Amino acid sequence: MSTLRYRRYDTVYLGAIGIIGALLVWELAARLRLADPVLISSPMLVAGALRGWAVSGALWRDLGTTLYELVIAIGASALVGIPLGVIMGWNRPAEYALDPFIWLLYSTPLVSFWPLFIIWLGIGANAIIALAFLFSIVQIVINTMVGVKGIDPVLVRCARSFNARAVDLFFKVTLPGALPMIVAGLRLALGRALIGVIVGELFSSNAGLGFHISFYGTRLQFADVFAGLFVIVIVGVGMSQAIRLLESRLVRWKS
Amino acid sequence: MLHIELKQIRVTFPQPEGGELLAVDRFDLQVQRGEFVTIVGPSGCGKSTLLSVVDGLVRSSSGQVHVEGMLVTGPGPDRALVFQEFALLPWRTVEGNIGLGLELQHKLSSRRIKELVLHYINMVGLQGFERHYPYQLSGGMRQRVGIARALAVNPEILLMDEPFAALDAQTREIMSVELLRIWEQDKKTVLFITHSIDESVYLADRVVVMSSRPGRVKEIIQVGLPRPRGLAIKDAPEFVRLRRHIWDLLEEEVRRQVDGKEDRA
Repeated sequence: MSTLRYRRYDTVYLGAIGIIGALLVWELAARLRLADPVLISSPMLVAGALRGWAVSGALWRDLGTTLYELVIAIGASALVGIPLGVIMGWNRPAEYALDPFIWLLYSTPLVSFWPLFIIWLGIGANAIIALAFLFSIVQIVINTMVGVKGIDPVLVRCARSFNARAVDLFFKVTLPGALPMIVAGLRLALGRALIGVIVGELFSSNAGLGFHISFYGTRLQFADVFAGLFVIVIVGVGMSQAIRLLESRLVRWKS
Repeated sequence: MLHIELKQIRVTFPQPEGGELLAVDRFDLQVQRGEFVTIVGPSGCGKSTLLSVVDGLVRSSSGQVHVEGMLVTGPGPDRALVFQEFALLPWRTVEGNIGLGLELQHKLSSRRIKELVLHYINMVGLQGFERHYPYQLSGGMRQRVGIARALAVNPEILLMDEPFAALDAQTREIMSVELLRIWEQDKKTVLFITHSIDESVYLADRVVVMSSRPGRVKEIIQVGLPRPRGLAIKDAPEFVRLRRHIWDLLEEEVRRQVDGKEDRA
């Protein structure tokens, strides 16, 4: 049996065929009333809803709100999480002291903190950012810690044999060595932060992509709900592609 | 002129189950300036540990190392290490790696470092690979980078910890020829650890044969072969005789080690 070899563009183009096929089935199912068109809407209706949303200007406001919350949350996670991870990776006692909190954050359904955030921070962006921050920080801390711990000891020995100062050891050996893990952690954290933001907006807010979905969901306008989902997918894919790009630029040295 | 002096070096390592492992014991050695000394011994005899003690990365439990009469208490710019595992920073290019030691010393401007790096790239024959990352290089080329990095800080003593052990046999031969070519240029004092008898005789002015653990000096052999040496010297009767003699010394030690291991099993 001969093996077919696929080239890179084949995957793109076969993937596109898959998506177009699914959209076609969906459209037909709605037109032929194979399922209730009110519930499943249809690609044409979703496109219409998307256009209306964009033309009214509300799309840009919602998208801006969501992106703002996402960027602040992930930025705060990185700002707090990377130093924490470095400390935990460098210092055993610090690791053991902080470990319980990491596991607490990792294993608790963080959504249960929501009522508290609402009371402490009020309905709106602040509570949402807090939730997304908690969602995403663990991934960054853990990855940074593992990255720092994984530095090849012979590299440290080498730097020390040249009498390296502690600052140099950190900036020239530890940090660059841990960088691939840190960036990978950022990519995972971004996905979790997006979940945090959308969940927060779904629960209680007056702007954002999640708000758009819950607003039209309760009014049974599913074309608008699907339009909201579509934009969220675009945001998620776009962000993780951006980090991938950053990754490939930063770790060109990896074979 | 006396350059390095090791006096009654003893190194012990605490064991996880408690107790101590005696790695090196009562080790005495005097190395003259400009001398090339190789140290051979069975694996696990503490030869690498000994080198770390001379560099100052590991402290001896007792005994002292003096370099030019000064007590060694830590790493210093007068000594540079070359590692078996090359120890190159994978995110730095050839240039960046060779300049590392100079950068860490904070003594020269970055322009001066660049000039020096260029000089050492030429010396080890890596022209055209300045911008390559370690993963793009062969094992032999990587160790050329390691050697250039050590030479770049212009140390008086080169400490080489089985630098060619990770290379294939042919590359290894070529690298030892290259090393001698570089060494002939300014005759730094070299302490070179190896487990290859061939290599130890080919390179050295004197070969130190170590006993199995705890590592002690078993015998020191003067190598009178003329320099500069080509690979053909390995067929000379004197070379063959020395190789035979060192093997006889080591065989005892290795046999003792192997038998010891079998006893325990």
